[in-house]
Amino acid sequence: MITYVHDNSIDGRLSALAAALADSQTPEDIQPEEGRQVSLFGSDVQVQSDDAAARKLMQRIRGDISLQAVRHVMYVFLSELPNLDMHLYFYLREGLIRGTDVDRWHANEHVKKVHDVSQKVGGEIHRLKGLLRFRELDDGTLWAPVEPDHQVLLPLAHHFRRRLPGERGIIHDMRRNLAIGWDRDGVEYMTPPKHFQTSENEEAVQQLWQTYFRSATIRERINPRLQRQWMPVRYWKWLTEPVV
Amino acid sequence: MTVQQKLAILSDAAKYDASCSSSGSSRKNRGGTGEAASSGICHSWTPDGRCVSLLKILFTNRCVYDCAYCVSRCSNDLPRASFTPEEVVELTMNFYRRNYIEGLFLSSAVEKSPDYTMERLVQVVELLRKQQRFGGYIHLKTIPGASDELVRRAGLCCDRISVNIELPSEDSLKKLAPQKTKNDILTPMGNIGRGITESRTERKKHKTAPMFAPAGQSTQLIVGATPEDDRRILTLSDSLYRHYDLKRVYFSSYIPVNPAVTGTRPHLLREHRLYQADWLMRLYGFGCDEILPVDAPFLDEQLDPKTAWALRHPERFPIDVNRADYEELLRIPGVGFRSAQRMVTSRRIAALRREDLPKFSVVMKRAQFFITCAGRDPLDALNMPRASVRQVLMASGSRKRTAPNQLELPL
Repeated sequence: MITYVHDNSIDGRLSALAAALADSQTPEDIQPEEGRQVSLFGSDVQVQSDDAAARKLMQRIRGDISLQAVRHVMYVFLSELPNLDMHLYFYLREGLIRGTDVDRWHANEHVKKVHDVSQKVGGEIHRLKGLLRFRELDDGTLWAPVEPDHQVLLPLAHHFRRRLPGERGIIHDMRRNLAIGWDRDGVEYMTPPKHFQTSENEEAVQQLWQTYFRSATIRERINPRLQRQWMPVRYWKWLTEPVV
Repeated sequence: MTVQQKLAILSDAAKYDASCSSSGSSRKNRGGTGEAASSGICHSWTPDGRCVSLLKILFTNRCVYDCAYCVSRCSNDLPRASFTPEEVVELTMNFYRRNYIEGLFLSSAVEKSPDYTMERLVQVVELLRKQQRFGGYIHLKTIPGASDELVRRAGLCCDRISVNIELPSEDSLKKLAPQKTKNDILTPMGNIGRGITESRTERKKHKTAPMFAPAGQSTQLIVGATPEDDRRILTLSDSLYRHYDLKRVYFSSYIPVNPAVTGTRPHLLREHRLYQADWLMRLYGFGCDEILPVDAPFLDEQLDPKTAWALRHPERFPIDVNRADYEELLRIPGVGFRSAQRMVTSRRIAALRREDLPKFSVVMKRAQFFITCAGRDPLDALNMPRASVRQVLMASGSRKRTAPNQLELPL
């Protein structure tokens, strides 16, 4: 039994999946090099990250399964959760045979797992489309600090570029210390800015927002549990409204 | 008065409008600021657990009307304020850029006359759309009695338009809001409905035809301020959905802002049950008469309306999840439209087994008494007489049942 080992990059994981799918034998496991458990039996195959192989597999997924499946696979990668490569392997193996039907097979454990993780990531993207808070810096750039569970900067940046195409914006993942920026020309990862000087107007607008937030509450219906259910406390740190 | 003070007063007065939805419109960005997301996006949640999606404000709370249920009525001694159109535009743009909000929900008290007020509201939305090229979501509440021309201009700028029906019957309206008439409310509703239909047919022919309230129209009514029963309310909303093609009817449990009206505290459980019934009518194919049997004026407080219906109709159960069609699956308590869809697509690939059902987010706690997977009556399998199902369901739902009641804080 073969264990495929990759470098944990997206290309590397796709290359390992492509190698495993090309073999008629079911692999023992597909694992990142880092933190790998060495098995007693079987052999390891080190898969080099191969840009062309990765792209080719993606094209097959799009053509033979669906665009939806491409999204599921990408979201599983973005989730950064461990031990999902074998689920992806079975999902893709079935998918490349069954086509679009694979996404209807909700009772299959691998399909279910891929869907669940994809839904988790999709859910966080949607939630952050609402919960991200931009601060205006003194050069007019919009800057939003955030600490997401999954690595969701890219889809977020595309959303805000579509929405505010005339602005320059930065979304800054404070936990992973990653930043992504957008302007008229496109979206790009960048080195996180070190110094922030907010604009003159910023403080006043934040105060207006806080006033609004306080007076929009109906006191007779106070229900903090419901509030937390929709807006988990881990997202509160970077909000500008007075949540306590 | 500073904008800060105005905002405090005018958002406080607007918070009793229930709708905050920003869904249903797919307005694209055309180079200005903003776009609409068809799914809608909630941006925050206030401590009452309601979402903040739109900047919900009144243009003014100076009112010439004296509606008994309303906090802004002219006989109340309150600080009064009015925005200028420019102030609203600036607030909206500043909040939108920072991603605080998805758009604007603008309503107003009636200052001087309906037309005078409506004119100003239309001015705000036209400024936003034309001068600022704002592409975000706008929900405008029209003023009962405003001219058709103004409503038409508003519709061309807004994503959603609404007229509040306020109370469930004409009698109550006469009693509590003597200056508003049924006609003032239903005429614009009809006009807006026609505007929406026309624009939809036009847009099928030409893609560039102007949009008229692409997210449809909605309305709101206050529950619990007047003595109407649930049957009356549901019949009314049912006919609004059928005759006026409304997207939503919102229910707002009456909060006693003024002492004179009946009722002491918001009855949140009743509001919750009405919404459940509303969902059954809009998305699950239930008729109003099915939800409420002829002799029952009120919904069951102990059980949700679908479970209550299922218990009244033992002849329809058990339902075989491998054979029943989609509409039948929707009738099973504990099965939502998502899980029903998943079951229908999944069983094309492999027959459903009982242990698969939780994977489709079926709530087995309720569903177990009503389904069968391999032809066996679930109640035989559970060795349980049919008569005791109600007891078991009520006991198992106890945590859920107390939750909405707990919200009724003593005032």
